[in-house]
Order: sequence, then C-alpha cells, then structure tokens
Amino acid sequence: MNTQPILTTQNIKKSFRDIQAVRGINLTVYPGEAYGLLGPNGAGKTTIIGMILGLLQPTSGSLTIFGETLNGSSKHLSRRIGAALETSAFYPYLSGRDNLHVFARVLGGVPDARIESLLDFVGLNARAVSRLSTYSTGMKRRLTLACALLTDPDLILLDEPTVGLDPAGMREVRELINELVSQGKTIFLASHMLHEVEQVCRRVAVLNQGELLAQGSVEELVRREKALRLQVADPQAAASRLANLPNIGQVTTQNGYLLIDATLDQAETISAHLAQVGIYPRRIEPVGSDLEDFFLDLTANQSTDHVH
Amino acid sequence: MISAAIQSEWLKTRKRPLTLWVIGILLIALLFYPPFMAGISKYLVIDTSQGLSIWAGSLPEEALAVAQQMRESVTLPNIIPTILGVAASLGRVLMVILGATIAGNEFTWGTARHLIGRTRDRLAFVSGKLVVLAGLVLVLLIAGLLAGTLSGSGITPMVRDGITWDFLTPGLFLRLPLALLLTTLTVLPYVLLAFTIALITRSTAAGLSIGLLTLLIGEPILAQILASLSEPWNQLVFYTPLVSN
Repeated sequence: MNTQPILTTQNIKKSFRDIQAVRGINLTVYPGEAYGLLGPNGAGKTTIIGMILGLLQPTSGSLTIFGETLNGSSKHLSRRIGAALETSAFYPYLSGRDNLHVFARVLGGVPDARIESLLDFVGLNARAVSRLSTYSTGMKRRLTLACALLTDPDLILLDEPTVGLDPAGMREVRELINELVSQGKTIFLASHMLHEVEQVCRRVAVLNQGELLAQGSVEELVRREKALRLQVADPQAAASRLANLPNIGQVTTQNGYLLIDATLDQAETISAHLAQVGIYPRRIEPVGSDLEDFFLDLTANQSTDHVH
Repeated sequence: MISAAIQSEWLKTRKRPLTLWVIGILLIALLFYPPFMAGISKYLVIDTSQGLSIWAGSLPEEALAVAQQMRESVTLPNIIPTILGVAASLGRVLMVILGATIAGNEFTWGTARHLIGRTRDRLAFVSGKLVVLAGLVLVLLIAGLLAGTLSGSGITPMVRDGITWDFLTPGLFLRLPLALLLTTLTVLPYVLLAFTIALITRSTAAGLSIGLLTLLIGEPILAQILASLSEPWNQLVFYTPLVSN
C-alpha cells in the first residue's frame, strides 16, 4: 500500500488506575478502506475510539490522523472525523431532525439541505419530526449514523453499529456502510460481531485484553477453501485410493465424509482419480475457515504470527 | 465555536418542555399576583413593619391602612418594583431547577459525551449553556415585568380613581434597565451554583438540592449571621443577593 495512512497509532497505551485497558497498540488505517477492529467485550476497542476522538488521553504513545499528531489543539480535525458510538445519545424530547440540527449548529457550517439529504440516506424522512423517545433501536442507530456524517467527514468511526438490531436492521446498516465505502469514505469499525466485520471490512486488527494479536487483510488472515468434503459410498476405500495422489494434503474420514486437504481447483482431478476405481462422489463441497475460526484460534493461543 | 455552541444550546433550551413550564408558571403567577393581592387585602392583612401582625376577616381600623398599602403596591406605578421583586423571588427557584436540569441531563442522557466527542471543545459546551441561562434569566424578568405591570395597570382603576401617567418620566426609562440588570444579578448566583454543582457531580439531583437549600435555607441563615456581627462586618449582609434585591 503506497498511500499515506489516514490514521496510525504509535504504541498507544491507556491505563485506568490498575487496569491496563490498552497495551501498546500499533494500528494503521489507509484512506478509502473499511478497517475492522475486532475483539470481545473489554478488549479495548471503545477505549481506542475514545482516544481517537479526544475523549480520553493516552497514558503513553501517540495518534496521528490526517498526518497530524493528536493533541489538545486538534479541534480543527473534528469536522473531518465522524463518530457513531455504541452509546451515542440524543435528546429524547427533540425530534430526529432537531437532534441533527443541534449537532449541526455546534459543529457549524452544515446546511439544512445536508440534514435533509442525510435523513433520506438513512431512511428516516418519514419519522424526522417524531420525538426521539418514540424511535426504535434501529432508528436510533440510523440517526447516529446520520449524525456522524453531518460534516461529510473523511474518517468515520463506528463503534458496534449493529448491536441490538434485528437481522433486517443489521443488513440495513451494513448496506449503508458499504455505500459509504463506495463513496470513498474511510470506515473504522469496532465490533465483536465477526460475521458482520467479515462482510464489510477489507483489513482487520484483532484485540484481546488490550493487546493487538494480529493485523492484516481478511483474506490473508483466514484460510479460504482449505479443504474439500466428499460424500462417497465407501470413505475408507476412497481414502486409500487418494493416499498417494500428488499435490493434495491429508485425507481423513469424518462422520461418513471424506475430508481432503485440497482446494476446489483440485476437485476435478480428485473426482477423476476416484472414478478410475468406480468410486463416484455424490457431493463435493469446499470447507473453509472463516474469521470466527481464525479469531477463536488466535485468542485461544494469543499468537502474533500474522502481525503486519 | 462558542457562538455555535450558543446557537445549539438555544435550540435545545427553547424546545425543552421544562423551559416552557418555567416560563408559563412565572408568567401566570405574575399575571395573577396583582388581582390576587388586591382581592385578598380585603380579608387578610399581614404587617411585618413592627413584628408580625395578621388580621383576617373583618379588618380593624389599624389594618385598613396596611391593606391600602398592599393594594397600592400592586397598582401603577408601584407595581413595577413590586413585580420585579416577586419575579426575582419566584424566578430564583424556577431557574435553579432549570439550571441544574440543563447541566445534569446532559450526563443522564449521555449527550455530553456525544457532543464533546464530536467538537473536542469542553469550554464551548459549558460557555454556551451559561450564556443561554443568563440570557433566559433576563428575558424571564423582562417578560414577568411586562406581564405583572399589565395586570397591575388593569386593576389600578378599581383601586384608585383612574390612572395617572405622570410617573412615566425619562428617568424611569433610564432606571428600568439598571433595575432589571441588578435584579438579574440577584438571581444568577443561585442559578450558577446549581448549574456548577450539577456539572461537577454530573447529577441533576445534587445541583437541585444544593441550589435550593442554599436559596431557601442557607442564605437566610447567612444573612442573619452577618447582620448580627459588629460594625463594619454587619454591612456585608447588604451584599447578599436576597437582601440586596
């Protein structure tokens, strides 16, 4: 990646009395990408976002955004950073539209037309005049996203954007995020919902107990189409036939299926080899690991083999 | 950034239901104060000029003069200083409630974190609120003065034989803004105390309780203590907001 990073953290640490919430994290986020910060509850995700927003000061280390090191005089960056926090709060007695106006006025320079277009973007036009206290969780999340986009920021921080949503709501938020990425926005998404991150993010960092365990592209970090599963009438005979076939890995049987350490490209060769001895697979399907498998393995072993 | 914070704060405050309640209660109370006092003075007189004297029912000779004074105080031109005093007294309580709530609710709802997280400007966040609160106190006193004076002018013909307008001098219009400003200054300390306590403790209840306790109990006790001191220390009592009103 040749472009300058939009966000970097240099060995940032954060302690709350005796608790080390963040322990020397180095992150790099590039412009125009969706970057996922993965970790269970208590991993330090929200603390890192708090430091990026200036709500918390790092105990040590530094953060650089848009080429500037963050300090007390970084208020001018507030318009270039949008944030949709997990606990983003609004004024319950105001309508959705008025809530956006409150933030628009305090941020300054946000035309009314922008507010209306954002309400349309997140699908809240019909309920814009309703009091926030009448909004569902999904509607509040969408309003949070609209608020984060008021100043048309370059960097958008999302902290658990789909928590508490039903599947339809989750999909709506994912589609909005994908739309933002297609518009060239940089998304920094903190979540413990691995499946959600896998669908949206190109690069991820994995945290646990304040430590960075891995960072890199999703494809590099997980195995894809690692194995093939075959349904055959006689798995033992098929395993014996394939034992000496070159360019494939381990062959095992499991629950009546044949598991072969090979890629989908090799399925035709394997099938033809079995057919020579009268074994015809009823089904051949790839069996890949996903981000969840990778995450569980990593947090179990606390490995840093894949750190980039 | 502070002007932007003021605009934002004004939007929040003018649409807050509690603000409407505060304005409504104050204006209604001041509208009804003159006719209420004029009416009740026929049946109930309280005189504190020499100790405490209360007459109720058919009034004796000595109470009639005090009753007339009560009626005079709520008619033109005396209604002006009277209603300012009443507005300040009631306004202190109402604005302490509003001031504590404006600060405390931001933490109850989590909006303080959200706003400051976006703007990175704590000073603007607080300053905007203070400016709007101070402005609201002044606006409330002006509105209350107008409402009470209007009401008082309505009952003046019933108490006296018509209205004489010779009190409308240039001097009055010069003294009135100063009177309003000074009255505002007697209200603001309590509002600021309640606001500050609520902000520091992040608790509306703390701001409310300390603000109201100071207003209703703390300062009267302090005034009594100051007044009992020897010269020149007993002069300090005239600088307490309640007494200086």
